[in-house]
Amino acid sequence: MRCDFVVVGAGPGGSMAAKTLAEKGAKVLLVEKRPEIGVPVRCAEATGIEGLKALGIKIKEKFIASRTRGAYVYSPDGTLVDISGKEYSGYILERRLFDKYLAIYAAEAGAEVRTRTYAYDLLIKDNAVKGVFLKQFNKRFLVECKAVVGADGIESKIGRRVGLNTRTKLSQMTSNAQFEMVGIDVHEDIMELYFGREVAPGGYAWVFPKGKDIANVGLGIRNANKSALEYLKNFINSKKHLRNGKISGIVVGGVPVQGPVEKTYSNGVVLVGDAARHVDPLTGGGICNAMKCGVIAGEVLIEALEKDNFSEESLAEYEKRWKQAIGSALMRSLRVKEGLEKLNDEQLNQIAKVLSSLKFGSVDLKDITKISEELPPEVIEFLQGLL
Amino acid sequence: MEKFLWCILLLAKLMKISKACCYCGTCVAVCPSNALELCDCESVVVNEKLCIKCKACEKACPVGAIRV
Repeated sequence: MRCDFVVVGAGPGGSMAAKTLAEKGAKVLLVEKRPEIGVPVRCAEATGIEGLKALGIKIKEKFIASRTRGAYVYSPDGTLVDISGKEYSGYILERRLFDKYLAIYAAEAGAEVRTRTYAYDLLIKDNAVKGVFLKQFNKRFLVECKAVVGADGIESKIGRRVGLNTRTKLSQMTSNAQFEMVGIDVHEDIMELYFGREVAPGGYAWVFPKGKDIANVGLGIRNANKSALEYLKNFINSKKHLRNGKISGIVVGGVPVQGPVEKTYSNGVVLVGDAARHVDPLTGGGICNAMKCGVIAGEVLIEALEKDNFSEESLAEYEKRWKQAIGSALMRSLRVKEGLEKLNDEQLNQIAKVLSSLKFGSVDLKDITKISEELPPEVIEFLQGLL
Repeated sequence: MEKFLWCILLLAKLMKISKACCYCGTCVAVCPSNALELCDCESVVVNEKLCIKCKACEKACPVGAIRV
């Protein structure tokens, strides 16, 4: 078999890349190692409405579980900071359907989709990618192609195969566990976030509503001595409104928070999404980033096809463009995350008290001077870093 | 007998991944020596020759499935 491009991994990034390539008339094969696209879910499923709409895909009610108006953020001592608005600003997706529909959109655009197909190696000749070795059921075969999109997640094999350093340091990898819980008392349109050393060291805990009494309850931790699952059980037991819920699903996984990898392209290969660590280091969110980069990868590869040049120099354009699109946002989040890491629980409480006493839109200069006098210098430094 | 003992010793030294594993790939992403690989979607393969026993995978595993 022969085609122009092989996209490895049918998550949001891979499917958008395949869709973009197929729309421009290229012959694309989208492969997914799992039997069913979108399953098992490895995500807390929250994303922004603006970001998703900007991508220009058909948004179906089927893959939206709920709409959110913002979040209640709780500091370690339970101080509430209300960052909700009146308008809906986010979706909680049904990823198992969302991912599937993105792959369907790619297929409708003309891409060939194959599931239960595992890319176990690349065919590399004269320092250029010439094909992908695939395994479907027990059959092994080679698909010749001109370039490969590696959208194969945090464990990215494609990147490593061509010598790109995709490793995440242990200290920069959050270990996450999440239960889908039913029969709990949640606000249907407000997310809850909990911070603190006891709750989730190096990360945060979340409650993302998926309906009236159903939510994704999870947390991410770093550099802790217990597993994420243990922390999650403790967290749920400590919360009155979650304690009596039933667990209808378990999700576990890692979210890299070190910012994007140094180099996301090589001869005939570009990396997209989790494989390139296109994850917001502060929130751990990456759906829209992956999709944007998927589209950019598609556009760059089409240009490369026109020039028939898939060398490293030609594909460097991909990195340039995704940096233009999301680079500054990622770097900003990284700075805030690094600032946040330096603060202890007591300082977080102080910040929460300041923020909860302020009402957005009605901040008085007198208030700010009064508050800033009470704060320790580390906290002020952090707040300045935010601006 | 000596062979048998060697086998036991070797098994005790090997890295263990229990059935709690959910194949999420977090261990693969943090391994500094590329000793781990997520094959298909239902197996984590350990290359014992490359493993440097740093325990990064053990610490990163969300469900505590790995013992090094």
